[in-house]
Amino acid sequence: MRPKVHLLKLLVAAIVLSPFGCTSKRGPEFASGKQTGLLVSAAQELVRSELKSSFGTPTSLVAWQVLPVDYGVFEGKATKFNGQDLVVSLKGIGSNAADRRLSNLSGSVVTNEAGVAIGEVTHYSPSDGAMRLSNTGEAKIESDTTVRVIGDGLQFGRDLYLRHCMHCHGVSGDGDGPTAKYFAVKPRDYRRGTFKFTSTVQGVRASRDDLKRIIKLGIPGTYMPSFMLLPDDEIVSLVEYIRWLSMRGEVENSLYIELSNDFSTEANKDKARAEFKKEVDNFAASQLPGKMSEIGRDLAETWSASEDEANLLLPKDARGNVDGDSIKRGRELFLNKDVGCFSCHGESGRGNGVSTETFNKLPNSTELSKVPGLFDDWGNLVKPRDLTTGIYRGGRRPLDIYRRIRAGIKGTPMQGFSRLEDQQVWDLTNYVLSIPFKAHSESKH
Amino acid sequence: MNKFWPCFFMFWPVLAIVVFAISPSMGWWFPTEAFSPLGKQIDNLFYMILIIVGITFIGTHIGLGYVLWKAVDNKEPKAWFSHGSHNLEMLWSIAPAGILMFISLYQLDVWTRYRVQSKYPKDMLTVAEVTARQFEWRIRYPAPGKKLLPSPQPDDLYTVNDLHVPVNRRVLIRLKSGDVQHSFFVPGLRVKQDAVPGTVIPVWFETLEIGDYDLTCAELCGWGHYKMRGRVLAERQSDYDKYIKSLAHDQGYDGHNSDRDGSAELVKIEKATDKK
Repeated sequence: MRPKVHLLKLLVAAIVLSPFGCTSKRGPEFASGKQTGLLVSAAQELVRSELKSSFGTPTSLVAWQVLPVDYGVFEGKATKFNGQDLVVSLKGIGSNAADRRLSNLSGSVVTNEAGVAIGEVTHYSPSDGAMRLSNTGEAKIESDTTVRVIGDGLQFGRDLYLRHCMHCHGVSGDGDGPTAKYFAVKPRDYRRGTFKFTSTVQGVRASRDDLKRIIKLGIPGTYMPSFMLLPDDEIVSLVEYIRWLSMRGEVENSLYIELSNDFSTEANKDKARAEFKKEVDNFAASQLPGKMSEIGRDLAETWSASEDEANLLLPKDARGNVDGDSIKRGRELFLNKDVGCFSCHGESGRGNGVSTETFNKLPNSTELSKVPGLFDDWGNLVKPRDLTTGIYRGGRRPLDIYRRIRAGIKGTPMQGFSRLEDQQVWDLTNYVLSIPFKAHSESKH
Repeated sequence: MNKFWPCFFMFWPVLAIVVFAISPSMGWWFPTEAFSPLGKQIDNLFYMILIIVGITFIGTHIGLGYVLWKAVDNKEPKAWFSHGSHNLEMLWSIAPAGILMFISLYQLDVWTRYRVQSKYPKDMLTVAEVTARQFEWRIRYPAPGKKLLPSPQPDDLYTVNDLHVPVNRRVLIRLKSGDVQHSFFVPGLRVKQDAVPGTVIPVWFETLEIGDYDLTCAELCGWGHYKMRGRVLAERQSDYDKYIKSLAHDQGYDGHNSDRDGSAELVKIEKATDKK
């Protein structure tokens, strides 16, 4: 009869344990960047706590108001507040779009007229406007004053991101999600704030429209699929969340740069641990707040610049006629030593130029690469595009090719050609667009 | 208790009759009605098979129930041995064979129209080449007023996941695969065709109503299989022409046309979702 007893025990154990499951129940978490790991532990701690206070965690987001991110705001009039329960009439409710947003309200921050945070929404009932708040502090709301509820858009974007994007791009946007390891072409690591295909001039980041376009159309030739059929409001929220993730990554990087002089493990091998703690605390108390507002200001400036009309790259001259002459001129420019397209893309545009076989300087460094070929800012070995395939990652409109030539592909060895005349860029564009057909007709003969 | 088994077996045919009777009014048939003529014919084939198996199921179960019911009071100790009865063997061989033969002949017409290329309708419009790839549908239209050629042309128009077709017209797509096997599945039109690497498969359909029909991949093609959501949008011929024109405009956009504000660059794709 012994086996039966064992069986019974096993059964009981299985029933008792089954609600707990086998996998960990932790929610999504932001991972620290590699550079942060190069700091002494006290400094690492500081970076983490600073990021947490400015950006929160994936399950509890923080809307840092300095950043040029549209977090999603509801304005409303408060009628009653007893320290925890707020009765508020939000503006714009009743329309479909607004009602859709209401489901993302819980977790949003409520601020009073002066912009001081009052608490977090835990529950809201649209019928009577009753709102329950948690984490409430001392701050008050006078009745009949304006309150703002901030953050529904970011939370919506977060939910969508975790559903559609996270498995490749990772929770923290580091391009290292669970499916990323299967790809030859790595998913974008957002944390540098660099996106390859933009409509902006050299040195300026991607605009909201650029990100929207990539999400809608996908990137042919890579694993980035099209999300054409997502409703517009979802794409808008996704774009804001992705921009916000980029900014979070950049803050981490800026803090690393700030701290690496004094607190990198490399430079401080023989110092005692206790000393760091004191120095880091010192830094946190004296310099950090100023530094953070400086970083925030810089981010606001650079990211707003990409939305500036003046930075939108548009040709001065029209494309004009696409004829044999233009294509021929383009071909000559392509082979011109001073322009140098062929050195990467090869003389016939197959992406097999001589630089793919030489040792080149690594980006932002004076060192040569250890293997021959070209590297992008993320440290990936990249191939110059094979222009015979007719696959254009950043779009196939003449304007897209124009922009690739004029402003380059950001973060890659494809630099912009600002010295060329507009007509020359169009000649090159026309030539590039003709390559697949030329290759095709050549192979026929 | 003696009558339990006869009642048990009689319950199922009765239930089947009840279900058959109330299904049409409860909407218990296919998830949606078919929105293409061929789809309706395919549905009719399914209904015919359903009727045949329904009658067979009810008939055999009533027979079984009847025999059991009779057997409850049977005091005869010895059973009737029927094995080797030539007539019975003939009967239950020929009857199903006849039914199967009938089904196979009856469906030939629909199958031929659907799948045999030489019997395809002659007046078809070849709208686009659809290339399935992990994990999206890349679509290539010919330029306005031109015919789709097998190889890409400089003025071809490209889009993704959003196949527009004129309504009430027999249209043909050329189905390809860019990597592994996929399957072009539009349940609302009863179209399902595998996309096989290395082949170009012509698939035709006709839509009866304006609207959008879900397009999914019906062949497990990799980890992102579920992401291959697309749609077939059937619209008036004039709207279709307009759409192709707007695609052509977008594809030739050089940033120097009259509408040079940034928003004009998103015209095409925004329009696609507005139509929903």
